[in-house]
Amino acid sequence: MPSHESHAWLWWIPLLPLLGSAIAGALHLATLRARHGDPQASAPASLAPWIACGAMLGSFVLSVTGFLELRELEPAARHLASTAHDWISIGGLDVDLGLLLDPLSSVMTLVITGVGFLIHVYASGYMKGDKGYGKFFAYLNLFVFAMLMLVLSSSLLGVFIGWEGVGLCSFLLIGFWYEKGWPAEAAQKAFVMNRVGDACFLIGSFLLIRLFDTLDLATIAHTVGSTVSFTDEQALDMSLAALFLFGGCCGKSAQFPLFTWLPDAMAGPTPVSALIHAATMVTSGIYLVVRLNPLFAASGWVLPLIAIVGALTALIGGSTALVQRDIKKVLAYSTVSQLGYMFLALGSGAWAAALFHVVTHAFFKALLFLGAGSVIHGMHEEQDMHKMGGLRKHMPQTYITFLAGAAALSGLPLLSGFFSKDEILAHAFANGGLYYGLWAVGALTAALTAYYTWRMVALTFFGEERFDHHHVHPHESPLVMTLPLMVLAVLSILGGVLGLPPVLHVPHLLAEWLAPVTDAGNKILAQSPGEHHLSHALEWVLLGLGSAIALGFAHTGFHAHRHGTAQDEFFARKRPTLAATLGDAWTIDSRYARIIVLPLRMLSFLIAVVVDQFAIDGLVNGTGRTARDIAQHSRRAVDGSLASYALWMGAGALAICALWMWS
Amino acid sequence: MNAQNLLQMFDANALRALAPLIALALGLVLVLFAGVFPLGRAVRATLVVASLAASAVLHGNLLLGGETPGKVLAGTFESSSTTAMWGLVFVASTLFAWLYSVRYYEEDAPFKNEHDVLMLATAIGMMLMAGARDLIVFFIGLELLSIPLYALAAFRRDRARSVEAGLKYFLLGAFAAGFFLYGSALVYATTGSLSLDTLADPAARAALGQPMALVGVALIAASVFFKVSVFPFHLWVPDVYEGAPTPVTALMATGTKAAGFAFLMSALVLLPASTATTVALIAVITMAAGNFGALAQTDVKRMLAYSGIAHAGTLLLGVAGAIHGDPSNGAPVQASLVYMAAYVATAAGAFGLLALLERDGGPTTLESLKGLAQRRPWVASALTLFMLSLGGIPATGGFLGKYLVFSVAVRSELTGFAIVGVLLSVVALGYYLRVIIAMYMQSPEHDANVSAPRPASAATTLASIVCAALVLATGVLPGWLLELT
Amino acid sequence: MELVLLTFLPLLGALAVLCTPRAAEGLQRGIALATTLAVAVLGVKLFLGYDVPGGDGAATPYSFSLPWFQLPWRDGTPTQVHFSLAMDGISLLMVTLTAVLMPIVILSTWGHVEKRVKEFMVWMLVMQTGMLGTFLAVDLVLFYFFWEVSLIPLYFLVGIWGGEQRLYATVKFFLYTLAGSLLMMVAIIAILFDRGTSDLGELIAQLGQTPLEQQLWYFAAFALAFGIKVPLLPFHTWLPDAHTQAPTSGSVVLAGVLLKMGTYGLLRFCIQMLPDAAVAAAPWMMALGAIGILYGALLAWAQTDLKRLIACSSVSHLGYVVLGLFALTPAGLSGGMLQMVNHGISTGLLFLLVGMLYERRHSRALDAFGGVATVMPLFALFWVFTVLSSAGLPGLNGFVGEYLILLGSFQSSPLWSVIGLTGVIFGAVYLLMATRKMLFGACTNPENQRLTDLNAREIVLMLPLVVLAVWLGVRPNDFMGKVEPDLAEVGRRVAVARQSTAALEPVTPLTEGVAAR
Repeated sequence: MPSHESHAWLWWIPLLPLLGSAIAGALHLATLRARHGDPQASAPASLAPWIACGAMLGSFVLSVTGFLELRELEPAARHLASTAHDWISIGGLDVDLGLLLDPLSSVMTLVITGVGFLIHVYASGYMKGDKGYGKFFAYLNLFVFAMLMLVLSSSLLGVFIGWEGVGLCSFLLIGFWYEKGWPAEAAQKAFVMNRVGDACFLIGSFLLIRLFDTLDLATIAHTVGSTVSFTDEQALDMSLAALFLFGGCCGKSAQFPLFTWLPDAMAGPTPVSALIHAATMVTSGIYLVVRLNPLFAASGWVLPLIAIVGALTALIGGSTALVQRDIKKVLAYSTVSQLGYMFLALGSGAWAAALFHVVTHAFFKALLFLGAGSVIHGMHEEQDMHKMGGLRKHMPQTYITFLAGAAALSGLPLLSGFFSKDEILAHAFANGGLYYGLWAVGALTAALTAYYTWRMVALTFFGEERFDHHHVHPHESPLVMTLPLMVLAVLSILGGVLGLPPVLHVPHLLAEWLAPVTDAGNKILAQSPGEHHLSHALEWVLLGLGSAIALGFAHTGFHAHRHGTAQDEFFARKRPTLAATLGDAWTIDSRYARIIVLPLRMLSFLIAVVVDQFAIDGLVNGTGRTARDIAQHSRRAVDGSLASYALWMGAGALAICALWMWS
Repeated sequence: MNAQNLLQMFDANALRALAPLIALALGLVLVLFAGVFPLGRAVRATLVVASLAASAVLHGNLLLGGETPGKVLAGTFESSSTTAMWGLVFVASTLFAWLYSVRYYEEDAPFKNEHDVLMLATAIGMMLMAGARDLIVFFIGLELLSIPLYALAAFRRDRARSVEAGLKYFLLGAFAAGFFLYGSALVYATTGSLSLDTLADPAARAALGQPMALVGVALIAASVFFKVSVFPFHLWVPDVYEGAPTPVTALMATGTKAAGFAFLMSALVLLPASTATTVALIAVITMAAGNFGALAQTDVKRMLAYSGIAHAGTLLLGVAGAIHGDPSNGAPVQASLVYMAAYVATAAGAFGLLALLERDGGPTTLESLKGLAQRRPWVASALTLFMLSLGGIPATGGFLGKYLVFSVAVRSELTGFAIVGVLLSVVALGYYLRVIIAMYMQSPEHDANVSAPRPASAATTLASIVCAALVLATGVLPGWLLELT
Repeated sequence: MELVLLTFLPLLGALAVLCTPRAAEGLQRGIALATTLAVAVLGVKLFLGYDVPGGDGAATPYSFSLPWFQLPWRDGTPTQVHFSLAMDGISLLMVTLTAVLMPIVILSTWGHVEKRVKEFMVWMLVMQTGMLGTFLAVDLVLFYFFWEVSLIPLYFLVGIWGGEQRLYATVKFFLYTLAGSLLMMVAIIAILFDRGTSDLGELIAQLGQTPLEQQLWYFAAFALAFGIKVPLLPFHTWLPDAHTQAPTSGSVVLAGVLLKMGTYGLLRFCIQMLPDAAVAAAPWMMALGAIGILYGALLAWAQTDLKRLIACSSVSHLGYVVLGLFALTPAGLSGGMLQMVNHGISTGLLFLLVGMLYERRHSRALDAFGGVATVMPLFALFWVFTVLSSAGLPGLNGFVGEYLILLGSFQSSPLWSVIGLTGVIFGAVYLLMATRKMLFGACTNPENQRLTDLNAREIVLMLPLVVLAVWLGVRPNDFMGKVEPDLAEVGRRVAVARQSTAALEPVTPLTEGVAAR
């Protein structure tokens, strides 16, 4: 239940970035006038990063204060709310535009603003000299605003504002370099695929209104949590609502079958990939499910479905990342795969674990992307790892921090990724039945992850230098870019302490913190059979197994590729079809183009030409033409000859006589 | 009957009833003689206008002066508020036609006063037709209208088209007259009366049901249909309208039609209720014939001739409604009166402007109208107004008439025909819009054939302004017209 | 009285313009702009001054009535036709939209109307009177009067100042619309004959009692007339032609206001006046609306001419309105109402922008462009903003309307709601496709490299609409609050009709099974 004491200051968390965005945008417009020619014109834009980073820092500080304020409160009472005004009270629909800061949203806010701030700082170095310098920060801040609205809004419709808002900013930022054709296309693809998800989201919200006659998240969660039993119809509606909302998540969080936009999204500047397509936006699906965990817990068959989709996506992503040559593509597919992990966790009812992975993943994946960005920067926009190699000498800070990120991603023992990943696998395993299979997939994906991560490290930083020394002179990035890397590296290494496994007999900080939110869902799950806890022994086994897989495959992956591209070429020669299939993400995307997009395009042309022009409009114009034809024919009767006129008259008179005699 | 009671018949009442006609007759005679003296020619115009004005005033007095004479001359002629209103309509149409004729004739100008005499005669004929309560009286009126019109149609003797028009009209008119006489003979043979009032009482109505009487009625109807140009008696219209001098065309299009329908409305008793559907059918076919015929024309005058046929069809639908509906209900008469009043103003104005444009050279075709809005903005805008009124677009008199007539049809459960009718009036807009397109939206291919516009005569200007004013007045504030009728 | 002033002020302006010499174009533009601005001020004043009638929803603060003329009725007793204008929340919104849009339209003509300025301004002003009258008339005959009169000006606007195919387009538009209107006239005749009154209030009170079958006949006639105007599938084919050929200002008025006359009529007459028939016909109307959404979107996707594309998108967007209105649920009605305004703003902006581009480049072909954003960044900014508002992005005007419509229709028929929902996807598809082809990519064509960005006038004239778009998105209540009582009243009538005709209501087989209680 949202508390009614109002904390208006909450609004500053999202509003600061919005303001920043507005100012940065204004600065950009100021530069437009003298776009051509004098360099002085772009002076205003150089203020933009300061504004933007300032805004980010401000809302980060506010988030921290909010977090501290929450800690003061009783666990049960940990929520600060502020309702601005009743946004919509039209046609029987009443929606308040309100903010709610509770354990869950505070975690998300901290990640968004914290990691976001670092990425802003990094970007101020990375984007220097771009003619859209100011615009970039306007977009970036706008994104943060939307993302914060998403996680802070107290009603589902408010969430949807953010939901579509982040989609928009993602569109704008993917297509940031629109002069090149393909980023624009990637942006369009991302927006449309998200729209598919959003449509499902809307249907879900309709069903929720039908069920609960409100869109207030807390109320919905509370109602489900406190309701003992549902009628069959209600149960069905709940399952459907959960299903459609998950459909929305599939779009936003790049799950099968809607994941194919994310790899293309790498067309955007690298900081964007780090912030939007790794750390924050793509995790909003996980946030939504956790936010409504009682609904999903009570939705019966939808939960396993989520788990299956998650596992499948993890596998597709992981296997595809194996053979990519573009360093950003590797990271993109790795992100898809890691998101799959998170949904596997949700599907197993491990809300806390999922969010734990969101947090750790935010740290190390942002780090890796920024590292990759630093590499690309130093290599003059080169992204093909086959044209890199041996860079550790040229860019040591990037190299070291990148290692930390890689280690965390591949789940090397005691690093953040290790704990979060193993917690997910443990939960999956604990559910038993079908979930054993899913656990196996998860474990396999873990192996793949370790392999491709270290293949990437090896190809990028080790082996002989495969780039052309005359044109490319690798150099370390400036401090403004490497500093964020270092901070993120530390976080990636230590992030694990947030959720240490129970066997170590230390409290799982994150799980406890989230308890007020997740209890309701867990309670419902507890009623359902099959949920049993693992024995310590078994946990140890799983931990050991996890470490073994990670270490083993990290080692093989590293050594197979440390000597250059030979291994890749060998594989491509040996198994050309497999290589091709993997390289194209199991050719799912190209199938979409053939099976869905093309027929629809055909249909639209069919409608435009045949149905509309020929049939419908043909009928309309045909009517007119017929009238003209009749007119032309009717002229013949009037031939000017007196006799025929008289004849007509006589005939007419006779006809009338006849008619009247009969009638 | 002897002279004694013949004189008795002309009591004060009868004189009051006939006064409007007498005024015109006097004017006619005076104009005729005036033609003889050089001085007379100068006052001719005054005489014509004066007599028409006098007739109008007398009609107005009958209309508003409360007590109307009613049936006079042994019940052969009626003077009611309705006939008075019709009378005003006739005077208006004659006046407009005359005004437009003032500067129309070049080489035939010397014979202008014969022309005027004939025009006045037609007016008298119309009034007789409208007031007739006896088939013979009607026939006299009919001929008094027709014979001058034959002459007027052929008035431009040196123009083949004009002469041809006159001849055609005359021959077919004689044919139609034959119909009428034979038909009335049959009616008399079966019912023993030619008085519409006698025919109205039950016994006669029963007799009218007989086949022979029906044939008679049908023949009478056929002859009237010829005058008002109803299918299939309309074929002469395009040729004659096109050939005749345009002012005369205006008179034929407005006055003749009005007189014909005035009679039809007063002679409803002749038509048994069973004929309603057939009449409605004929009406719709007439609309179709007129509208589709017009759609194929490029000569605007000829196009308007066809549009006149279509309008006759619309009015006939009102007649059908009147046959069907209860006679006590005055709506049909009012509808046809309003329709005709609006139509007179509209059609007279339209033909008149054509007459004006012809003087710029040659017949008025869609081609020659191109770019008129630039050359003669006022003529173009007035013509646009008339076209929209003919098309029955609101804010013009045409709409009011159309609305009333169709509502008569709908009230008499002829909705089906009404729907066909309105759809046909979409076709009508198809060609009215063409005129507007030519004037406003197209420019002449080569400006060579566009001669400089000649200034319009005061009479023409006056007539056009009055017509336009009437069209707008009846369209925007129809109250007064509905009050009068 | 305010209403009479509001309605006829433009006509006075038109007369004033008529009195100016043909050459004094500046003066003519000035008068036109001044008049429309005055009307706009008056309209906004009325909007702010309009206080929601208490509960009963009967008394409307503004109304005016004069006996106009008498039509014959049964046995001698006449039907008194009144010249009566009145304003309730529904017409209030439409009137304000019209009043606010017109000055913008006039200002937009600076760019593209060079020839025969005088006539243009006259027709524009006459048209405004016609539109305002249509929204305000509460007498059936008067409504029809204004309805038809508002037809003529656009006929001239398209026919004189339009593109190459203008004659074909304008005749098609005129005759097609007229055919529908004339059948409506027959229905009006029948209603007057049946009821003996033309007063809308009385008819709304009385026609509820007439037998369903009779209502259905009336409904059919009205729905056809309005359906053609909206335009509703399959009567839509005149719209793309008219839009493509019309001058920018004509397109803006057409999309912004004239089409709304159709949806307004559906709400006012087909639903409010004939509730039982509306209930009975609702499934089919919803079907037409929903299919129209999808159809229009697919149609737009296939277009290569920018203006045509937007015209087709209008078909899609007005499908939303019809879907919402005939959901006959509170949410649906309100959503439909709101969407009328939204469409006016968004599509108006789109046409303005396309016009500005056309004035510079003299082409509307999509593939003639590319990389325009590089040379016209401000244009790109406005365009993207408009596209987003048209695609229903939350926080902008489009969203609230669409959401309410889809919610409302979901409550009464999930199937059609879901079909309509696909429009949300395809809407993004064709709008972004157009945006990408026009704005993005490299600017290689020298013709485009020469393009100059928006000037001050163009920005100023679009700003009001931009502000409205944001305002409607963030605080829709400020506008809908004024309409809610009236719409609630309509909803109540429909609900009553639902129960009364529950037995007669033919449930369309399409919604069976899917319709979950």
